[in-house]
This record gives sequence, structure tokens and C-alpha cells, in this order.
Amino acid sequence: MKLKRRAGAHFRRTDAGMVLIATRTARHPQLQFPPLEFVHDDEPVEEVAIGPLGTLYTFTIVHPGRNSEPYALAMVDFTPNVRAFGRLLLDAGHAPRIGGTVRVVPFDMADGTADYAFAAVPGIQ
Amino acid sequence: MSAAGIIGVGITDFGRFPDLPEEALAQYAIVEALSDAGIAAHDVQAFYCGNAIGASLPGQRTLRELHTTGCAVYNIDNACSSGATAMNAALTALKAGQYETVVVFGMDQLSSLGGGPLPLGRNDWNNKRGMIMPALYAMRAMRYVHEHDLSLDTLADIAVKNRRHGLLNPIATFCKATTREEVLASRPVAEPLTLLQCCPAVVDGAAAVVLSTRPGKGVAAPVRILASVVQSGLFETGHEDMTEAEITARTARLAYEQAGIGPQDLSLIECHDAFTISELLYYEALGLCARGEAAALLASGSTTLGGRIPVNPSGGLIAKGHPPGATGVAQIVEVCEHLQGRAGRRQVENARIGLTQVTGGGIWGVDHAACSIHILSL
Repeated sequence: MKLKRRAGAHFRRTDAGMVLIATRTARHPQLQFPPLEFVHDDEPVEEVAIGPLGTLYTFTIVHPGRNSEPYALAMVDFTPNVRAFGRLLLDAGHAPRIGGTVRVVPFDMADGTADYAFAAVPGIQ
Repeated sequence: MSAAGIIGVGITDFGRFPDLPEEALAQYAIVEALSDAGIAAHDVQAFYCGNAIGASLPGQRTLRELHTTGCAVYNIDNACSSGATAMNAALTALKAGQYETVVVFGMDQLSSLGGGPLPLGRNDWNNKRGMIMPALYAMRAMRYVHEHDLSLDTLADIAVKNRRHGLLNPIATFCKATTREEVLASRPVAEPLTLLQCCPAVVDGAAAVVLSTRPGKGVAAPVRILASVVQSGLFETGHEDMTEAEITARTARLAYEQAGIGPQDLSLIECHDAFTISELLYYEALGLCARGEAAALLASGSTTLGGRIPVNPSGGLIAKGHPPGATGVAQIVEVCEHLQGRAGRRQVENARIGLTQVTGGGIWGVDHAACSIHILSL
């Protein structure tokens, strides 16, 4: 059986900022994020960095209830034709704006695992 | 062999019944359906059970105390589309001649979960990052409102309409009348959706139908199934339009083709209004209006009881609640009752053809994981 978990993280830090790692294969040339998790038959997997800047397609602010703080979620569009889902960091006093520019930024998940989030880029519309 | 028809229906109240396990609720619905069909449990050759939240073997847990014959039981989980998917599977077996009479039932008991959104898979990429079903629909709503420059009043008006319908439905025990102002002032769940724009989270219920290729022995006229279609979500990773309910539009196209009718021929619709925005998107996906015209259709009163094409005369999920395994079958029961002229105070006048639509979701990468549409007629 030739089936293995793909090595490599789903984000990377570069001089230009944090980027996400999308993947594609010859059989499925459309980029996907999150990246392919499993590789069949040793098929070559191409990694493509997306970001660090993307466009806010939509968002919501979730209100879990009295004992938990609200948090925001977003769908962000990247060039070329990839959409990523993730946390959206709220900027106090500034409501998120659909169509606005966001940046990929470091963010720790609830269990402490290093992950990514999105943050609005002031001044870039 | 004649085509399969619905010869009996049964449904429980939808409400909070923490002392009634899902098996007991389903037993009640099955017994009602068998009685309605004028047959006994031993006349049934197979059972199809839709269940999304319960433990394993829900069908067998339900049926053991009904003293069935030990015939086949098929347990089907397709999230919120479980019950309707079970219906599709049962019809396929009847069409193939495998059985003559079967029962389809669906149930879930949410009281035991203690409230909050439906539980989703913890290992899913999106869910690990905070996705919940209200948030997914809220993001659709945020984009739809943005693209069409809509007032949030439109979303609230769906909740007002469906709760007004639900007040006429004796099984919608959780339903209360509400105003646009109350809907918008209720606590935010996932912006722009407020609590009263979401189907109640803690509701239990079950529904059942008897399908047979033999003539029914019940008092109500048998209902014909003009179309039964199940589809699955496409894997989408690009810049897809989240305001287009693609899977519903695709399933509807197939269902209309199978039935040989179009949306203009429908008398009523029961659709998956888990959140207010859903119903608006489904107006467009089901072909009731063009893209971007759902708000105008709602405002025209066409989708209200007494209008041209009443949508969710039962009150829908917003008024009744949404025990996911039961919902698809409950929609079918509702449409049958209208077609048979026994829907009480919410009866749609001269109902001739009805459509049910239910989706199921909760995983990353697909618009919805499942969609089931049935078109019924006398």
C-alpha cells in the first residue's frame, strides 16, 4: 500500500510575512487549502504559497454565550483562486469590511498549537 | 407492480421531552403511521431509519419493543438530511421490487445535549478553528446582505412569517409569535443572525411514513412520489459564490426533471430553514425567483400562507425545531397532510403538488454535504 501523510506545515513565515501553503497535483490541478493531507501512490504534490495578503470575502462574529468571549471567523480569497477559512482578529473600533485587505498572521489555537489567522490591514482597501 | 406511494404518516409533537428517549418518540411516530395506513408491524418487510445524533443501531433500538419480524433495518446518517435520504433509499428498494411495504422513520433527541449548536466533527479543519453551523450560514447572510444591499429586516421577516405559520401547527409546541423588532433585538448568535433567526436548538421529535406498492388500507388517499433525489456537495476550494445554494439548485433541477414539472407547478414547499438566510437562498435555488430577488418575493407575500406558493406552512425548522434525523421525514408528512386536505388551520387551499428540501452539512470543503428533494402529489 502506497499511502502516506504529506510532510510539511500549512503555513510558512517569509520575509514578506506569513503565507499559507496550498497544494495541487497533476490529477487535481485546482489549488486547495487546507493542503492535501494524504498522498496516494507517491504522486508528486506541488506546494504553492498563498498570501500574505488576501481579500475578505465574508465574515461573522460568533457570540458563544455569557461565559465565552466573542470571536470572528472569515473566508478570505487569495490569488490565484483559493479561498481559506480561519479566525479573523478584530481590530477594536474598526468593523471588518467585506472586500477589504487582510493579512495572514500567526495565531495559536486553543490547545496552544501554532496556527494562522487573518487581520485587517489598515489603510489598504 | 405499481409505483410506491405513501399510504400512512405519523409524527410526534416537536418540543422538549427530556424524559422521552429518541426510541420512544420514533415508536410513537411508527405506530401512528401504521395505524394511518391500516396495517400492522408484521406487514412491514423493511425499516429505514434516519438518525444523526444518537448512538449506534438507532433503528433496532426503536423497533425491538414493537415486536417486528426481524426483517432488515437500514440505519442512515446523512446529517440533517438523514431522514430524507432514508426515504430515497427505501424508494429505490421498492422500485427494484426488493420489498412491497416498508417504513421510513427519522428521529433525534436534542434535549440531552443541553443546548447550543448541533455538534460537529471535532477533527474537521474548519470546526477545529471555531466553525459552527450558525456561523457558516451567518457568513452567507453577511455576503448576501452585502451584495444585495439588503436591510436585516428581510432576514427577520422570515422568522416572523414562519413562526406565524407555526402557531397554526399543533405539533410546533415550542413556537411563539414574534415581531421583527423582537427578532432583531434577540441576542446575537453569529452576526448578523440573532437567536430568533435560528431554529430552536433543543427540540426532540420523530416522524414516520409507510411506503407501499400495494393499495393502502387507510382512510387518507395515498400520495404519489413524483421525484426523489439525493445529491452530495462538490469539493470547492476556489472563489465560489456562497450566496448560491449550488447543491440545492442542482438537486432541484434533477427533481423537476424527474417529476416532469417546474417550480411554477408547485402548491407548497417545506424547505430547510435552519436559519433565516437559508430560506431566502432556497427561494432562488428552487427556482421560485431569480438570483437576488428573494427579498422581493418574501415582501410580496407569495410565500406566506394564502400566497401563491406558501413556503414552510408547518412553520419550518424555525418554528418547529430541528431534530435532524426527523426533519426530512417530518417535511414529507407535512406535505402529505396538505395534499390530503387534513392540515387543519394551516391547510394550503387546493394543494396539488408539494416539494420538500433538506440539506446536511458540517464539513470543510463543501457547500453542503447532502441535499434531498422530494416532490409529492395525489
